[in-house]
Amino acid sequence: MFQQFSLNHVYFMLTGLGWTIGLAAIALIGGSIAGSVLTLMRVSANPVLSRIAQVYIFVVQGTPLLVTLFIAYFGSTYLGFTVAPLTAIAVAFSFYAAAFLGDIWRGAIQSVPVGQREGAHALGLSGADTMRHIIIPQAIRIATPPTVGFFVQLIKNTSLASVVGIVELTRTAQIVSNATFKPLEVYLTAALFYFLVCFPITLFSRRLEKRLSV
Amino acid sequence: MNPLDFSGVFSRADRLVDGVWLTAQISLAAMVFALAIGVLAAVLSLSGNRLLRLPVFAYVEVIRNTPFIVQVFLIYFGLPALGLRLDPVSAAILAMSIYGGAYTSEIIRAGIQSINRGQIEAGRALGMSPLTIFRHVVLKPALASVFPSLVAQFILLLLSSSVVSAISVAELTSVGNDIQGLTLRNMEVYLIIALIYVALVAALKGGMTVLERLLFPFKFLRR
Amino acid sequence: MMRFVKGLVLAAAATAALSSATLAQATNTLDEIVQRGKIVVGISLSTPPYGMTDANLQPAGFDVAIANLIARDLGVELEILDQVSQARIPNLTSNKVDIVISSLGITAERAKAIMYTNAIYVDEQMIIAPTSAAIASLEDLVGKRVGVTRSTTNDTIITDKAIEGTNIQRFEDDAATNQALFSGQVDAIVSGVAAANAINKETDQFQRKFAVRQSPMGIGVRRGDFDLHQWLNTEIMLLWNSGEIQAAQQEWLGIVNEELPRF
Repeated sequence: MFQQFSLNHVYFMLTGLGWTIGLAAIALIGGSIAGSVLTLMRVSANPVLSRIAQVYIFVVQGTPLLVTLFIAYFGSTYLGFTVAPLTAIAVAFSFYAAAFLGDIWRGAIQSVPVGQREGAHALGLSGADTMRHIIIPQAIRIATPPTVGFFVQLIKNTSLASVVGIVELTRTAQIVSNATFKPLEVYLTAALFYFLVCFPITLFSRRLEKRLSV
Repeated sequence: MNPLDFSGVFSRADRLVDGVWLTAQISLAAMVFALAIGVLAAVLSLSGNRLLRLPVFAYVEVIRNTPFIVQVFLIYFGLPALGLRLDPVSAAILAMSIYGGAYTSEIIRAGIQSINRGQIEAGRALGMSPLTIFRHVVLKPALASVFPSLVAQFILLLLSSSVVSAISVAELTSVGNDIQGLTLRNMEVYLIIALIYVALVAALKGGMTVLERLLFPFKFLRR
Repeated sequence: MMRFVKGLVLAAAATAALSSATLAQATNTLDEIVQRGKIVVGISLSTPPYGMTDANLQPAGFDVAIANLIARDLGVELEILDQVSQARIPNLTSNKVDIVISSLGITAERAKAIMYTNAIYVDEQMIIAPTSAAIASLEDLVGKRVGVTRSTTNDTIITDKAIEGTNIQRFEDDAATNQALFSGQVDAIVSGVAAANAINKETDQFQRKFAVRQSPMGIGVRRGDFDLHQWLNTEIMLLWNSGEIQAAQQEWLGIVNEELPRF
């Protein structure tokens, strides 16, 4: 019953890594779109929209992602319809990422001094133009490091997708670890794979941070 | 589809309470240690000495770019091979502190870097000792300015405590998993667990807001 | 006949299509499986020897063997959906799978959430500890750390039988539970017969101390799915009479039950 931890298993884990990268792409794209919408709501002049965004951020940030995913996939049955695993993942990760990105990006936008907005207004720029040409370019500078940091956490969090039946990297590690009873070796291999994906992104972020801060 | 039935969850409320208590304890302990590690690592990473900076860089990047579960396993299952045997709760606190410390150090480093050098020189001109300058002119304002990011990180640390159920720590998620196994009522358990985590996060946020006013009253001065 | 990993992408789309069809018709699952020409079975592939992957990374194990026999006799294709333990029942109740074969121990409380078929295997839970340890009864476990995999039958039984003062530590999967024993983080573990045999084969540092109790395992069916439930019970009786259940037990679990309880 015990199998030796072999190259075959490592190959299996590589197929899992493929899924992990795919899921991360879905999460990053979906999360960025939803996060943008939420940020705009949060900084909008409309108090109702802003308030809704605030409550949303509070609730979703406080809920473990596994639970959000679980409810997105299985909870829909209680509402009388079903969703495919990838749809549930896209929805849950987008909702989750939106809450954190919305918060990070709001902070960045609000950290741009009010004087700039007033100056732009005095120069006759419209609200949308002020946002596009004055506020957002400066906010991006502040928001980049925490955004990339969050993206790396999001990549690692795709491990939760196994709950909807996707055999991604962490799940392959579980399967191999239980077949070989060598959890340390197997999980270290998985950690190495995660590191190889995440570390270049972190390094890139560090470099970007340095260049932007000059 | 079965109708929702919470009776199996509610009848085990006492176990959930135990789980919440343990989650709160290990999370708070980890926050304190993570903050200490974070300050130390931030200071070392800003020192001029390469020999001090490099290990901190390696620590931060290895921790941030690998899954937390692997770090937990290494501490609990790997350390005994080196002769250090920790009980599950100690191993969990240690793992969470190391994990949280890596993120915290990056936040605090950014805070320290945002301190105007002129302030430090002003402190020197006033005849303050280097330690006094560090504590009152550098660290305190730095922590004050990054406090919101620290709170956000502490929330993530609190939520990450759910992972340590893997090494048999009977915290909230672990109790939830037990009840799922006994009743097979997974959705019901998750709904209740999610509510409790939201409440815990709300409590943490509230506590941190009070702490912020106590520690950094200067942030709330009217201009 | 069995599509697995390569079928995952398709499974995503197929599951959605299949499930919405289920909801739309709300008919009975047995007819549907036959019409569809495929049965979707939820199995955890990380619980050897019940569900695992073989050397070619294909699904294997006792649960998989039983699923194959069932698909064969239904005359349909088999699709296996790998599942983590928290997803076993939600997959079933939300129509993502037709049945669950996942070393599901039968208890009265669990039977409120799903229907069980007749047993396909009766496991014996035993205490495994270092050979040198003097452990012969539940009394000897008082004050000791006993590891067990959470939510398994092993867990249910030791939780029920353990004497006050026994320190039960629950891990999330068998690999972690065994690792806890190997690394000395626990004094003993509770394990099924097959896992105990496997550990004995690997090393003589640990040995079986005593059996705690026997526990039957069944196939999980959605509540109210009586036609499918009845067909499966008929199938289990036939497979037992033909000796095929016994053969699967021998191959994967290394032990053959003398009889299986029917209810």
